[in-house]
Amino acid sequence: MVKDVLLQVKNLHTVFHTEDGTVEAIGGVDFEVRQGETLGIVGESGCGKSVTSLSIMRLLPKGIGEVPQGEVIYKGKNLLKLSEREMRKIRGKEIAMIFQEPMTALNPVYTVGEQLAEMVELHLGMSKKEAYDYAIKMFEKVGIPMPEKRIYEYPHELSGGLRQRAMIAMMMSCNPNLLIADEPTTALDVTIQAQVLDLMRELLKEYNSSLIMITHDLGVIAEMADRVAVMYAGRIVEYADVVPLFKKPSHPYTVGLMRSIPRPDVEVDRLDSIKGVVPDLFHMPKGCRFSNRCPYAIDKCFEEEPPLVEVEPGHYTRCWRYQEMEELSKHWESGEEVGKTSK
Amino acid sequence: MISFIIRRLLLLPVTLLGLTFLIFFFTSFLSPYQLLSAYVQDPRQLQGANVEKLIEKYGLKKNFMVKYGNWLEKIVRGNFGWSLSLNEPVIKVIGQRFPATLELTIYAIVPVIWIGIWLGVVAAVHHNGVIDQILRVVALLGYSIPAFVLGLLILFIFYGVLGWLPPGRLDQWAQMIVYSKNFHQYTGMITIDALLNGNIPVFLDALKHLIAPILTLSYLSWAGLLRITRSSMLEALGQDYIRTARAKGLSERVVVNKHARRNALIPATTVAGMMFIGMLGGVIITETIFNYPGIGSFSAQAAEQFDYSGVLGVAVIYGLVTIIGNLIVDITYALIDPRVRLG
Repeated sequence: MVKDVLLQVKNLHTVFHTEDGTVEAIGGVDFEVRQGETLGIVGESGCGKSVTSLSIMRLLPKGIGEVPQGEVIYKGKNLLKLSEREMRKIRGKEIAMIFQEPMTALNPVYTVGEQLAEMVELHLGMSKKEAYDYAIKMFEKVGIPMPEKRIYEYPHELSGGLRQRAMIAMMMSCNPNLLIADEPTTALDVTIQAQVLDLMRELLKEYNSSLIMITHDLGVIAEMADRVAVMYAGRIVEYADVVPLFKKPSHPYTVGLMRSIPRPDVEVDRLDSIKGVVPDLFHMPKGCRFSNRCPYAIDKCFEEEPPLVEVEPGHYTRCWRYQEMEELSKHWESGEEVGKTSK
Repeated sequence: MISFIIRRLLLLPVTLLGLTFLIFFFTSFLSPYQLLSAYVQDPRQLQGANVEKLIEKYGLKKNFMVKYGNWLEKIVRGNFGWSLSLNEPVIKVIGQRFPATLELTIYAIVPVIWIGIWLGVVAAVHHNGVIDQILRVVALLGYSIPAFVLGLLILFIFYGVLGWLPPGRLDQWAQMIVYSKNFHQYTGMITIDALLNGNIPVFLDALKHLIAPILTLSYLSWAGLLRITRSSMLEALGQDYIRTARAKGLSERVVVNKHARRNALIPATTVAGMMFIGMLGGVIITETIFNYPGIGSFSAQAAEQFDYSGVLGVAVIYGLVTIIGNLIVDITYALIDPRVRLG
């Protein structure tokens, strides 16, 4: 059964106007999110994951970030063409967002209950009293103990896990169709991480909401996502359902990410890693953006950027050598033997 | 919150005791003859050989702690000694002049806080826009012009050239009304008393005399408050919780006036408190320039004429006001920022 497409991002470009000139942070990103499904966006810091989500929400810093090209179709409407007023009715109510660090993402001078209540007062038209009662219910739902007391506490009085639960309660309070979670568990202890992910999964199921899960953690992706977009330097380099992606990664960057996860069944002295860092936006390699870090790069990779091609139905990759990838991926860092031409 | 205020109030007498000790300590540099004036209520007491007896009587040759105890006892009973410069008991001078200064500072500080904070918010919201640039220049001017230069300029233009804003506290005709039997002095603050007596012309006359000193006294302060509010507002607007507030679909007005401003007020309160204390110093110059009969001009006069008991009396009053001012700042601080409320 093919579910309805809820959100469709087409050829999204985001640029930043900085003092040193204009740079392109996102260069043509396409993906879609279906009703009730979870899309994982994975990549290193600085690859454009968060910028993508802020572009969808139109929350880029004013006067600095801009979307000159592309479409974000939500329920048939292009969000990029809406007035600010119409967009505000979407934010929080239709599309909600959870941020990485709940300590800084919650306002320190207002109680957590107030921060939830003001949102339902706005979107669901509740009175102050109803909104606070509703806040207690939501806090109870996300498993915060003694909710009737907790809603009167300030963010600094809650533990990290409770803060993120409060954040989730807040963002789920208007029953959004789509939730964008930007690294929601990165700032939490490992044990708390699992609890928070479970909680999110339960709530999404209950509300039949979709989720865009932004993370650098492939473990989180494996646990949560139906479909995955791997991002690198402002581009989607691989886009597939979660099972084929893990079974048969077709881009060297995805391969590298997977090799850097510890596995209990494989004994190694040191984990593999991807050498170097994401290139800065002012100094992008000319050809494939991953070429300077790729162990399998050939001459062509340094000259021409590969297009996103369909490897098999629904599985896309952006690599010149994707056909050889299964063979190549057996030798990480020793790509030389398999035919790397040095620069 | 209540326990916070009670704790601060319990500390108040301790601080006051320390203050009087510090002030009295400076008198240990004076000879017993100089000290005597602080204990004499009437110069006729000083005729002939009585001086030595009086020194003996008040124990001015005794050790410091005994002298301090004696002095403190008199202060507590409201005896601040004889003012050489005005030929009146110091307590009487303070009683007459303190309301005048209080009136001046209240009129200076209240608009400063409102306008300064409001302008700071406006400047931050229009960051780098035309309004912001203009306000920055105006604030910089306020920072750079010393009060005595500004005061003389205002006096020259608005009194000397235009004749609009006369110095002093009241015109002759108004003085006659104010010091007549029919006019009840409830507070000693003429504008308020005039309103309570229902005498609008006197109110307007008093206000006319206040404008110039208020401008002189407050320009520096509101320039300072504008700058600190602007920068703390800019900082607040860049925080994660502002992004959260926007992601909730709140209007820009709520985001700025509720979520950002409350946080920006925290540093602004500290500055406003320091400003208030700085104003007490500014009062000396301002009152002297405009010949305004308050505590400030009295303290300048007392210092010039080595009216040691006058200076001591003013120092105690200044200290008292400073301590109370600090207390108000601390309480305001705790009201705004929940993280400050300890216990």
